[in-house]
Amino acid sequence: MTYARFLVRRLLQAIPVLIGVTVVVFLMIHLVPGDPARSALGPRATPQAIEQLHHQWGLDRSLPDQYRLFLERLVTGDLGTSLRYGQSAGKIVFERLPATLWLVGYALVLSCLLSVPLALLASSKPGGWRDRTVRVISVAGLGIPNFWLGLILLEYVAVEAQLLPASGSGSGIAGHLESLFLPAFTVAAGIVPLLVRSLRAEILKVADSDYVVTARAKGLSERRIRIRHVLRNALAPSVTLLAVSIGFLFGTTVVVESIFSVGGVGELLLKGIYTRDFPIVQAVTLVLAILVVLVNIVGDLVQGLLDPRVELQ
Amino acid sequence: MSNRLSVTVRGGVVFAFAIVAVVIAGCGGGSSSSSAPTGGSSSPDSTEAAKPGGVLKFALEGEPTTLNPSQVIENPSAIVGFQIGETLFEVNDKGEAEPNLATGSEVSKDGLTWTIPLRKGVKFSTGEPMTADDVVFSIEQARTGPYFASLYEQIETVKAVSPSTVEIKTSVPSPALLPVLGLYAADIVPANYGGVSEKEFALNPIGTGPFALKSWKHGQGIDLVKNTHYWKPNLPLLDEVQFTFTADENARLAQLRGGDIDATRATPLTVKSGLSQAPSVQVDETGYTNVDYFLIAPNLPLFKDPSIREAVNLAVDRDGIIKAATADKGEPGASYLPPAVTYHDPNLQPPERDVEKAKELVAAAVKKGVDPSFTLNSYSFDSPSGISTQIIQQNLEEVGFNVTLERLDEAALTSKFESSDFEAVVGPYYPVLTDPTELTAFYLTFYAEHSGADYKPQEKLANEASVEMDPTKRGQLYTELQEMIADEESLQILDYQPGIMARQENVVGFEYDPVGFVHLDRAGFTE
Repeated sequence: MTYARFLVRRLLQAIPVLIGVTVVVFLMIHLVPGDPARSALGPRATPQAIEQLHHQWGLDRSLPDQYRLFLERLVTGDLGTSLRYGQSAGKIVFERLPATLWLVGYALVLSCLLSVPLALLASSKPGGWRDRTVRVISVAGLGIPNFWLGLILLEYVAVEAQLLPASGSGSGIAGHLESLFLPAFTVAAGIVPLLVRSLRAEILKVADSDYVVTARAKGLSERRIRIRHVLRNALAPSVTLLAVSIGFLFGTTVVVESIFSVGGVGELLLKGIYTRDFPIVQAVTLVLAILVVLVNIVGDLVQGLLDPRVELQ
Repeated sequence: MSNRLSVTVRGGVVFAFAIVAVVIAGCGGGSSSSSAPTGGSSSPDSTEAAKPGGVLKFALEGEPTTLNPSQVIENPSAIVGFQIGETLFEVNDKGEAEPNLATGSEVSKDGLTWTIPLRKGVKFSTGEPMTADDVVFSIEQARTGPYFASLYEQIETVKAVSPSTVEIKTSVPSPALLPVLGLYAADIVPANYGGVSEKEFALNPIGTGPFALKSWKHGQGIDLVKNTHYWKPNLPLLDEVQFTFTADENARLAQLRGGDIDATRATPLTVKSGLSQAPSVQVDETGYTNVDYFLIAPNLPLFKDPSIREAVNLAVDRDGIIKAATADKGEPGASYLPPAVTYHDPNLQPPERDVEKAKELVAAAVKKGVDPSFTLNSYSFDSPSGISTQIIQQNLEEVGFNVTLERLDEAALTSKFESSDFEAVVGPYYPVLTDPTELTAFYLTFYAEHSGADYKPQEKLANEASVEMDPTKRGQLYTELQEMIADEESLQILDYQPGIMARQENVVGFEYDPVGFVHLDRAGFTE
């Protein structure tokens, strides 16, 4: 199948997935106890004001009716009006999205920068002290909650040592790199153990392949063998793992953004859930679902590029 | 082997350089308007005067949802709004309304007509003069808004009788009118929002206050700039105030300790743990405004019996709660009005803890067939109430109750309140006004009504007090009301907590109104 056909087919397949996401999120947020009107107006608001707001926001309609209205607006590109801010939910989300994209992108880069050398180190002598050390760190890393790690980094790197800012996302490329390093590292730390383990296992498997033995027999340098033959062929499953983990990464931003005041959509989603701001919750989850789907498609394409034996279907 | 290692080593070196590069970039960047702190402790404000200039960085607990004063309901919006807008009156520590944008007031003999002359020379940050039409519009917005309309319901009409005089007619004598006009909901804004829509005004407010909005980067921060048309001479001192948004209190205190910010609000509990190693950070207590309450629902069969409610009151270890949940900063009390509110009765105290008597009362009720089990809810956002509920659970189980703890987020627990579907709740509340009208109305319409308390006699007394113009008689009525609510024992007060403002040592001039909101017009840096 050509790349173009593959892309079109995957994009079409994404539509029912996204609709399914909107249904699930719509039901979940509407069925959770808590009145968004009371949440927006506060405990001092009059019952009349609350009733008026229910009517204004269509909350006095049936759930199927509310979902239908949501879909009708969505088709025109309208993600609704935030119950809390009184502004376009789409506008609010897209204002904050760049900070989250920077954070997740930075985390992906750090994940790769950390995982590849660690996996190469571990696989250089299986069973040796380097291998055991890396594997122990990986296992320990799997058990560390990211919010704890974030608070530790905040305390000791930002506050005590004052090496990096404790909050914000900075401005300009240098500002983003500086301000987002700690939150990105915190996010990356969640998947690096998985990537290291996966990549290490794959490197060891590929290192025993016939073509690697042949390459060695031909007299190629070990460095060339490890990079061009072993690593390249070992990367494919890790690329898939990375793509599949993107949803996890976005989920991690919800907590990490709050700790480091990044001001992205993760923090916005959390606030939206607390305040029952349905349009914001729906808008954020829809946008993130679209991003996850797109990243998975890109992951498949990259895997095809890395390994020509992989068929796109 | 050396070839295999060389790739790994080189990769590691490149990676290490990348990390070092980022760290060096981090060391070179960032600036703070405050100098490095050099010692000091939690102490009263420095007597050194603030110097003009500087940019203050203030971390809020969240992003404002609106800067339209009549729509403001949460703290972040109120704190920012206080720096942009002003009201006709300001309330002092004694609960008296002092002229601000008004120069005084006269009330007719029947107490129904108020004439309020306006201060001359006041301008909005746009340079436009404030007029009576602006005042009329602003008060109309406040009294027709969805949040505090009940406070303004005694106002019948507001009109401009001259460009600098406003007349307000009330339906009944209104002793709280001037303090209510001092509530931020009645900040004076341009008539018709200066020609823009309400939605646009919420994002770009205009006021007469010391600062004007410079920019609002959603998700990032709000910048205010000095209002060059401010009517108070030589104020404000600061050039700018930059607000950032950080929900987590520990993270805000970490930013303060790291020098990323100059000030933030906090609670006594987190200050104790978060600032114990930061002697250069000053901590201001902004008055006993916060009330930690324990509300039990008399409509529950268990709590219908007054002796059971008495048993609860006798069993709770308030000293232990004050020590654990307020870092010993709280004060005991039994009045629903905290000390910051006018007519608070300091003589009203909770009963001495008496575990044996509480056990007897519970045992007697159980003998009659009462099931001593109930669920105790608390708000997940409030750490002190989480600690309090655990202590209360222990105290009550000691005397024979079975208590199940359940923490819920604010929306879910409020929903339980509204459907009167709760058994007992521990949580905080605070007044927005020093006049007791506001907190009394809030208690009656929210807590009392939904808990099933017999609040009709209390409501009658509150209504009498709300129209009593004689301060002494009014005080007596509120004293009686406080005793009545305390005797009913469905709303039990655990403690009063002070509001806390934590700031860098070289930041001075913070002024707090009686309910704890900060005013920054005289704030500045000593160096």
